[in-house]
Amino acid sequence: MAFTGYAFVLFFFGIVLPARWLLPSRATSTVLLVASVVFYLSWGWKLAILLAALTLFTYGAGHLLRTRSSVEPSSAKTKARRKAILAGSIVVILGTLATFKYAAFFASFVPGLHVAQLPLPLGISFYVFEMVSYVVDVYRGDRGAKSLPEFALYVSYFPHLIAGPIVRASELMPQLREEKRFDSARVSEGMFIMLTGFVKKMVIADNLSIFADAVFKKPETYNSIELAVGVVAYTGQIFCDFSGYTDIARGGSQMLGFDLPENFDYPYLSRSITEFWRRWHMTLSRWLRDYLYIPLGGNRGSELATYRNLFITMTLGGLWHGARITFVIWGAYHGILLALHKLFSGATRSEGWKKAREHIAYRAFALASTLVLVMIGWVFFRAQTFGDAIAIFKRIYVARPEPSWKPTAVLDTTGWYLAALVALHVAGASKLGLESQRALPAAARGVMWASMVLVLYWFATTSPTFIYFYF
Amino acid sequence: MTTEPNESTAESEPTERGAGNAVPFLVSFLSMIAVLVTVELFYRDSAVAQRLRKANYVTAKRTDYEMLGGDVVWTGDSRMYHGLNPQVMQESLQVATGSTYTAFDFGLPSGTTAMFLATAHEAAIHKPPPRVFILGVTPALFSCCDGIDRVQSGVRWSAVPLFARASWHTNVEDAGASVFYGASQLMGTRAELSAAVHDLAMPAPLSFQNRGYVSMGGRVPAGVQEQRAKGRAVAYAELMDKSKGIELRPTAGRYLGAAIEDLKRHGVKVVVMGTPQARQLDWYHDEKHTYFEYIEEVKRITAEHGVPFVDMNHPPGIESGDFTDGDHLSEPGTTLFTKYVATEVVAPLLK
Repeated sequence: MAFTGYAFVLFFFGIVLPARWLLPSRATSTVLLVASVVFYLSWGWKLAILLAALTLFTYGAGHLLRTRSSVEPSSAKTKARRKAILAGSIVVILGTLATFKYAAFFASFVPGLHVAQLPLPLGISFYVFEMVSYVVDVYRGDRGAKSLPEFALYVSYFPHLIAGPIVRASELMPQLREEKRFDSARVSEGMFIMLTGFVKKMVIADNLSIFADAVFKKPETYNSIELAVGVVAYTGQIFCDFSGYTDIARGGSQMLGFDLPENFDYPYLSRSITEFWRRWHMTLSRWLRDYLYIPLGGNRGSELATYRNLFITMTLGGLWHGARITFVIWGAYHGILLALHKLFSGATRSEGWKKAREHIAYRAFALASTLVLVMIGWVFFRAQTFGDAIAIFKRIYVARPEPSWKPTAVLDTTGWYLAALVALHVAGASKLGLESQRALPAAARGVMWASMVLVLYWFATTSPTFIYFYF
Repeated sequence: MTTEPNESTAESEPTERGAGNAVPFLVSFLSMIAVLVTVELFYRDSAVAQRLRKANYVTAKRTDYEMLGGDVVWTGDSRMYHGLNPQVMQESLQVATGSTYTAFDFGLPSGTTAMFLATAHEAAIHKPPPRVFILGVTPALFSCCDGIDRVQSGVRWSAVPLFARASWHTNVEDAGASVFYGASQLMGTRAELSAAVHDLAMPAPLSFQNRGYVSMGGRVPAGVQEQRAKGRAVAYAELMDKSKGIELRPTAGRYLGAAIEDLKRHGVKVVVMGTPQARQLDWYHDEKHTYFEYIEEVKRITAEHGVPFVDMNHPPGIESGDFTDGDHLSEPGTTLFTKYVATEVVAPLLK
């Protein structure tokens, strides 16, 4: 049941939303847990067994960590046991992810060893990270879930189950415990966010994907202009695809009365790569910072150690996206860029540089150069092999268009959707949509929603899936 | 951006949050629905919708069938569309039974079992319903095409429960889509409407020679038939190649089962018939392709629903030369085949 399918629309608006608000509030958790189980089962029961087993295991590990800490918490024996439980549970949880996602990849580096690639359970990369954060947080002193159903709901809560945002237990569980009343303004806002997500995904991302997919599939048949537009189109596609998904998830969850963290803050308006990572896939960045970068030492050691930690964190972050060398290169590339930016920031702290940074020309250059660097990264991210990525760069440089070349119809159309992407950034960053939504009277707001549905009707193309479903 | 709770509730404090007031949201939601319903109603009666209905095989044939009806009706893909001639069927039944019966060809080019369910439902709800209904099945249909997407505008509201029941646990997306296609003609004709707007031209209306049938013309030279058949064989084999991970799609069979049940419920005698094909297509009848699984699946479905399965893959008296390619009978071939089906399959059921 994909978010963009009719089945989900019926499921959400026809069953879950009315049940959530019409049944007594004590039934809320049950309603949401049942809905989440049904949602996940719609993708296949075998996947659900794995999720259920890991949920049970992680809850058990958290329970053990909690009970151990209540008996002689400061004794060395207790501390050692808790550490062992934590380490063991992380090994099991991440080991499951590694088995399904990386076994075949790493085996391919061992001559003569062949391991078949297992089908990747949907959402595993996301829920495994939530499980790790749960046991670590409980180890660090969080109270954790009160019961197994509460923990199961935290992990399987359907808006964030398949592709995030990566939520911490301490963010969601207190909300689930809270008694809430129907709040028209917040539910309406959730509706608007959800519709925005549908438009981003089905109108902009899926239309941009037509040209982007064609270019990345057979780059040798395109000239430099077409290839460059293809890369820009993919840049727009991946943003609208993933942030569209997040908007649907956040909007839907807000309609149910629960806030999920923001995942994107118009990252292509960033003026440095460091800022980009504060605005792109924010919940993953946060997870990597809290559970990998800081435990590695963060920026507490020497400058060199900080750069090393950044590099390791980003390379592993790249690997998280998939068992492919191009993802590793993409992550390492961003690790290097972040280290370079840190170096540059450290060297340009003078008053003169501060002033220069405020100049419009500097800001424009910073924005454009950051965007270009990000786009270079996307080529590695999207290409199937390192060779494919290099071939694209080469052709952008050498495959000059013939004098008689004219843009094709699909290139023209892509241009329109790229213009829509720019408009989206302008309107979104200035919160034009949300402000209008709030300012309008109720009936007019409904007309605005209807017009968004009609935009979907006219311009949506149907792609059955989201890019981040494969990670 | 994450919205702070105090920002979002600025307009509604104190009434909405405190009282849990759902009215503003409901007003907005119902306004949205009202706009969408108004657009839908305008569209339904528009000349555009009427033109589009005539350009779609399911809805165009539905219009003819509503007027003409038929005692013997068949559906299937293009093999059935061009493979049985209603005129010949009526004459042959007259000879075989001594009575007069009418026939209607509800065959659909590139038809799928989802489309057959739509057409079977048309027959089932027709007053009077047919006495015999033939569901023609083709091997590749069960491994390539189980989606509802090709029958969007042909889904009636009354058929939605059939579609939803058949698909909800094997293809939940189709189950959900059927509700929208059944409820809204705007949704149902979205593909055609977008194409018409994009091309700035309405598609040409479809017309049929007699009672839904269109002839493929006379025999073609043997070399031409052979060449065409080999091309089609390759294309079909691709759709059934197990080495590429292709397997039978359960929803395809479930739509067939739903069609049988709907017809039976309305007192119609149902026959499932394997469609005829030229011998050049036989080479994918092996373990590497899904052919034998298809046969087993159709046998299982027909046994489960208590209807006969007559495999006409190689009907007596029909040779490769009777086809214009690998799977479409020429007009003389159609006449031979129709006579055979009328005498051996339909007439016994009418008696």
